[in-house]
Amino acid sequence: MRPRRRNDINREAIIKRILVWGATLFILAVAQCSFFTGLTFIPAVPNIVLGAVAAISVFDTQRTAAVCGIAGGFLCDALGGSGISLSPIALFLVAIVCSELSKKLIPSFLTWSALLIPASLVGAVFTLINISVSFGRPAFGYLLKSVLLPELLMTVLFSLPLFFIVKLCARLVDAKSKFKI
Amino acid sequence: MKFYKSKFFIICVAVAIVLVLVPSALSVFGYTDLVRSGLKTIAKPFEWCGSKVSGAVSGFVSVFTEYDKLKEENAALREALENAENEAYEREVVQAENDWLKSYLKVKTDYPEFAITDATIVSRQAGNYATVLTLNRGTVHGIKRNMSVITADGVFGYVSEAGLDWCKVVSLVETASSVSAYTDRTGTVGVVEGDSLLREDGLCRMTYIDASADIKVGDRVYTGGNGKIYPDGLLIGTVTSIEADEYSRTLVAHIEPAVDFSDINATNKVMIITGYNTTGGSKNETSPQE
Repeated sequence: MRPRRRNDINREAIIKRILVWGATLFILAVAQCSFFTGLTFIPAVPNIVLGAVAAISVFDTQRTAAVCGIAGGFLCDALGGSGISLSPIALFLVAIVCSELSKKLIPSFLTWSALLIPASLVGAVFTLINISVSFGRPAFGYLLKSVLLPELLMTVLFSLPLFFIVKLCARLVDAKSKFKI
Repeated sequence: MKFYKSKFFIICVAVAIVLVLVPSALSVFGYTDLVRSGLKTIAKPFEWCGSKVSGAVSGFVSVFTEYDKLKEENAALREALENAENEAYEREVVQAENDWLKSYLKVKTDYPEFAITDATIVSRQAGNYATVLTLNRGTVHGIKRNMSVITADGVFGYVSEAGLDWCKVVSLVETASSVSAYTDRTGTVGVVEGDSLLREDGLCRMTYIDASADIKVGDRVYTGGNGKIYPDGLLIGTVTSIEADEYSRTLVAHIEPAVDFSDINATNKVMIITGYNTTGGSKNETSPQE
């Protein structure tokens, strides 16, 4: 039997990551585009894929987070978006921002929760750009009150449990992080 | 910082830009994105499940979130229903009053020689079959004993007792009642009186009909006006059957009164004839003896 070389180990880890993070992002994107859009009692649809990318950013490498951000954004647009698709860039930026900030944070659930706010703000900026491109010059006050703030709040709220789900997935892919896995 | 200068980062940025530009451009120019379509197809069953679950969750949660709304709606509907019921009741009252006024007008038009006072039935004799009733008119209203009481349909009865502001009326089917009568077709005469057995069925009988008289079922019977309670020509009822009297050589006819005494509760208002002109004479007060 041929001994396992370093390249084989790397390939195995990459495939594992593609499978685990790919499946996680796919399920979350489907849930975001079908389950959460059908909940009539919440004021806005939460961007849980954004929350997942933010969580992957703290539990896995910056490279993995960046790829997950692009893939997650593409999935969101493919399953639910229409017209201009900005989500790959938006979630790529979220992954970069969260990875950078997590390096400076004390690793805990609370600090990760705080991290969701800048991540959601990045998402909100791209939502604003998307609306501006699609519908011309919108009334910012109205958008802030009826679209951006509800979306931000819902994203933060519904992303909180994702910390634990992504943590479980990080164990599966043997991710290394300063956050306890 | 090393990451931002790496090829990997540049490739990521490039891929992200391509994934933004290509689908957007395809969408703008109306082309179908095959990758997106494929992903949509794969996700379709999962999306179906997700939408079903979210529908169920939304339905369950709406019980709590829409409780206040439903409560308000319920209160508004109750109020609307109450208003509608009140309106319907008022309409019914107005309709009844209108019907009464029409019948009153009809009597006034048909019998211009009558002096009429309207009265309302205020109480009924207790029992299964009420034939003695109390009206809300008495001596202060000019009501006296033995005045005749009618409705738009025909003869109702006569005043048997008059108080200050009330009077009692004995109905046509009561045994204490008797009135001279004739049939309209042949002028056959007789006496219509109450009968204790027939009363239960809301009927009365016409007696002292000559054995050779021409009388048939369906003949209408009118007051003869020979006595002094009932004026001449008021409809009493219709002949329903004829039989020979067992004790004399006369006929007895069963009469179904024009006024439906079997449903006395349906009658609320009656008219009391306080006076009428006899043939060619001046208006007289009714006298008690028939």
